[in-house]
Amino acid sequence: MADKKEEETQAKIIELVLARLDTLPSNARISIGSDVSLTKQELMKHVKNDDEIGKKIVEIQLNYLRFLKEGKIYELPTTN
Amino acid sequence: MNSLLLTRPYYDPATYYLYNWAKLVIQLAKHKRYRVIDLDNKRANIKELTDILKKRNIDLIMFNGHGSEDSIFGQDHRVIMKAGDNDHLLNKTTVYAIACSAGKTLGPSCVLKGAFAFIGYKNVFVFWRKQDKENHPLQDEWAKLFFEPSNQVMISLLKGHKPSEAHRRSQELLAKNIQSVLTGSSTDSFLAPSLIWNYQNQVCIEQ
Repeated sequence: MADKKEEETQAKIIELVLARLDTLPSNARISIGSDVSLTKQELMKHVKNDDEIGKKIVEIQLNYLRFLKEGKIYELPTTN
Repeated sequence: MNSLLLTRPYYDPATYYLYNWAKLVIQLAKHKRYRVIDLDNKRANIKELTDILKKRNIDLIMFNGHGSEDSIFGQDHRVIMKAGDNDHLLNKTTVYAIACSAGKTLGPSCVLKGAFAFIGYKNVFVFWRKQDKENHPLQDEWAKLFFEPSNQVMISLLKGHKPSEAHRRSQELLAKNIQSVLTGSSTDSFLAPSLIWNYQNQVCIEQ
């Protein structure tokens, strides 16, 4: 029962991340770790495959959402 | 005369960006009359690095390249610095490594072995670039948001600031860029998660 709920949550997270990645500009390329150059489509493929790169992309996106939710944007230092 | 050693491998799009953005650090170092030892391209290998670190007193080191938690890679993805192997050679130097995750294990290890400080990243370093600027990294406005804060570490160190201050100034610039993409044009807001990621993962480890 708990496993099924976890699976459902994970599926929703991936759906959320894919929706966010779908808004990326088509000319954007990312370097993440030792990987060469990932396009928007390649990023989405990694997330769907739930591989090492996909997991890292999800982690970065969730980290961002938590950052906003916890109000940490207001704790960023300001330039003097 | 103070000395700066850089490694600048160049064998894929990511290292090509690091290679180019580090040119600005070299320019400033020369302006500040540092002796600059630039291990670029094929010279970014373990033999040349080891020879120099053994023979010369180096004040600052900037590693550009891919990395892992305990290693930094040079040309063609070959290890040039590894915790427990040759990081004792970083004794009495201040290091900035723009190399994924090296701040997690290599950083603390080399400081324990006598490096004055290690500034780096405890997780992957991420950056975005524009496809049409890949042959002109210094003209890439997206990449600029990532590499200007990164270069700020070296700018501060070259100006004689303490490592903690260099780290602080870099963080400040990252924060400014985060706020800029979130409050400016909505087309650049996709950069925010990666900027925040680098901001949260940059570390400064000192003696």
